[in-house]
Amino acid sequence: MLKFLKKIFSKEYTKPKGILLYGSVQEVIQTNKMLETEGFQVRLVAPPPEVRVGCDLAIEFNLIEQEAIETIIKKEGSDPYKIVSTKEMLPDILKRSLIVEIDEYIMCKAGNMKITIDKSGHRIVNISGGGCPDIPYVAEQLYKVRIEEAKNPIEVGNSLCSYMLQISFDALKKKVMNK
Amino acid sequence: MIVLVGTVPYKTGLYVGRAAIDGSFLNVGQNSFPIERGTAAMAASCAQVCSFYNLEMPLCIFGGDVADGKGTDLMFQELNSNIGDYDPDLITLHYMFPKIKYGEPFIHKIESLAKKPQLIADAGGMYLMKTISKSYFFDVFTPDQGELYFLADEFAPHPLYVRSDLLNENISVESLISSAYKNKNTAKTTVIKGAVDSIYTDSIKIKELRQPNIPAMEAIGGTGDTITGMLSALRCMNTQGADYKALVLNRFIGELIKCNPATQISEFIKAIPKALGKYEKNIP
Repeated sequence: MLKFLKKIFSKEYTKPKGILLYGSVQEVIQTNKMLETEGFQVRLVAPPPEVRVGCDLAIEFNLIEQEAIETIIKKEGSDPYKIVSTKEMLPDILKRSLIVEIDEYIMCKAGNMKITIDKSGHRIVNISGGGCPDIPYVAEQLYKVRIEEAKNPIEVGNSLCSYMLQISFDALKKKVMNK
Repeated sequence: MIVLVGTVPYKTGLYVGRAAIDGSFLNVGQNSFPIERGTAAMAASCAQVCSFYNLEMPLCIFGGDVADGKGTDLMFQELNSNIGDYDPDLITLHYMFPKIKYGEPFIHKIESLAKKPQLIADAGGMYLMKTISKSYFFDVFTPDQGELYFLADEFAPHPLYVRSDLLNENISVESLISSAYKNKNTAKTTVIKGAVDSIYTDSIKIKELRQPNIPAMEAIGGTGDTITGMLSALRCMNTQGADYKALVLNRFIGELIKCNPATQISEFIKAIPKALGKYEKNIP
């Protein structure tokens, strides 16, 4: 028992991780087992005190697999009370977006995600950067659409790259709407 | 044989076949994919170079993935089961969901082959290899500037989570690359794509390219994919200075077609044969 508790409360990892929070131990155990069976690298941890929601167990996962995990827990009906993720964990890069004017176009970048519109019609002419597989699809959906009328990238894609693209999209939209 | 692996944002399925260029489309077996961006743009660029030099056309192993990860599953199941049957000389991993469970089996499969193929990774393939700490098993990574921060941060699981001290404007590429190599979080050779392109091998700078300076290229989605595709073909044919040649060609194409921020990557890809023709005649 002591060994089990030590394992749970150990600070083995220093890398930022995602955490699935549930209201009951049963939900945590069942979901953890399901994710392990699906081949995800998960482990049971004690949730950080500031995000605890009544259960002293939570599931830790590698943030790079967040989208795949969210998809499967939704499919299996195992939605957590909360996922401590992008907004809570070290998103320093999101505080920085940069707008650059190139001839008749305006480009905005956040991290490695860039979106470009033409100055005259505000149409999205290019989306660049990002290694997540939904980005080509998002780019195809938003191409030639006026940024004021375009869907939010995060509604079209669901990856961390889409999330970064949303930051540059919002900054660029704000700039043209305020003009 | 060159084997190109990645997801395409279309109907879930496994698409395996030789690449063939057909106007603005890449044919893979009976299926056609627009060459506007992503894996298809990378593969089409590789195919254009192969075609120009009369090389065997690359084999594509694509997973149709509509952002649910299913195509990534199909793609890796094929790769990790049958890659030996294709007798690969070079494998390029591109867009994909970086699912950790497929990373180690892929490495083990490659280790089991009679000869180790050259290994190149970009995009999700690169994220996956860094996450499972197998970057140095690869011959080439092709990050852009944003992805270089990610490789330099030993703890970041994705470019989104790069820590703030690395985002300091004063930090040099040398510092970033040094950190990436120190922690074995990049491949043997790192080809950095950006306003200044540079090539590092084992943390030593080999080449740098600044001209022609075409700011519009940063805005055009796919200008990194074309480099990865051309570099794959040039490396497989043992071209001397293959990595540098791919970088030179990419900028030359931008100049040749007089690109602007609204230019689509298909225009770049279509111009590859013309650019190669001029390059080989030393016209650029």
